[in-house]
Amino acid sequence: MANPLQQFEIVPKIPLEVGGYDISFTNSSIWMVVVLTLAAGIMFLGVRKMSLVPGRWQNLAELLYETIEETLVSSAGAEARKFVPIMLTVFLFILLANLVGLVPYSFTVTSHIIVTLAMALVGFSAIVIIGFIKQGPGFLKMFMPSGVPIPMLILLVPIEIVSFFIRPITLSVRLFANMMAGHVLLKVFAGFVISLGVFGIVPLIGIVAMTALEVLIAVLQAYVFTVLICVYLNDALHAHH
Amino acid sequence: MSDELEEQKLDARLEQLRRERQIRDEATRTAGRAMGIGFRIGIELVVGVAVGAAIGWALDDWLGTRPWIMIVGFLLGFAAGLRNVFRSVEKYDRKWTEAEAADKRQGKDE
Repeated sequence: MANPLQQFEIVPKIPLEVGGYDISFTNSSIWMVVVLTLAAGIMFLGVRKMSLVPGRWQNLAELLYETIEETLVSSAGAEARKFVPIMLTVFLFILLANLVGLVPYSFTVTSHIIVTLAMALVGFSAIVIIGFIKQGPGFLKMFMPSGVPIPMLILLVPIEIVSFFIRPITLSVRLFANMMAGHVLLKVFAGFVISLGVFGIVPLIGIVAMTALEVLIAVLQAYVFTVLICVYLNDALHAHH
Repeated sequence: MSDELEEQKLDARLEQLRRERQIRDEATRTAGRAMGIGFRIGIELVVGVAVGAAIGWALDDWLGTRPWIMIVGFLLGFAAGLRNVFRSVEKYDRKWTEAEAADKRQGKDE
């Protein structure tokens, strides 16, 4: 049976090395370029022929934009509106990476924790910086739950600090684990189809159902990642209560 | 006269259909949201414990106090994970309670 983890293998396509670092252009890089091209393509088609009565592509672009704008404003307030472009970019990238990964023979960029962690850390660092710009040293007050007796603070402040710093990790693990688990499961079941012969129809039906579920998860996880960054952004923009 | 009656009937039917659809839409949206929240909080606990223990492990390595800081980190991580779960659920709980209260108020008006 084929190794179910083989699909996650990184293969250098154009070997490159700069200053002792391996920065080869890999299959992962290729699919990132594909995803970015698709994202840019959708938006380009969406704004090419702008009209009062939107066509299909404009409708899609407007729908995406409005969904993200609504999410952002409802979770981080009206002044977060200026972050709509970056959040839309993040959402589109993850969404398309997840969906493109479901196409046979493709590669799921988001099934590697290094990709999701890099995105989460960039978002997290940006939020910390924005927090200090907006609130100054008062940003640190979010580690101090108000209305708590001082002896309890010795216990609560470390908990708050840890719970703050695990955010980028939960964010990235959630996305990567969901994508990877789904793909491994599909591959394992696909192996059963062949080894069970005629009875392989049973896992085959399972795969069909699971593929539908994977599409749902792909969309949901992209959305969850975006929503959570919006929620964290709220902490940076508004003082904690 | 009969035209007017027909129109009234049509309006009533339209109104009923609209209301039914609204209820259906609301149900789908609630289910989708609940699933999103479920996905979000599951990982929170696991990662909290793992990260707390890992930080403790690293500090133990550095200070040569194995296994004490790891044990503290484990517990702290668990608490932090719970705190994050609580924080995300708290917000939705408030939202839902408000929505429910609004529904009740509306029900009384009709």
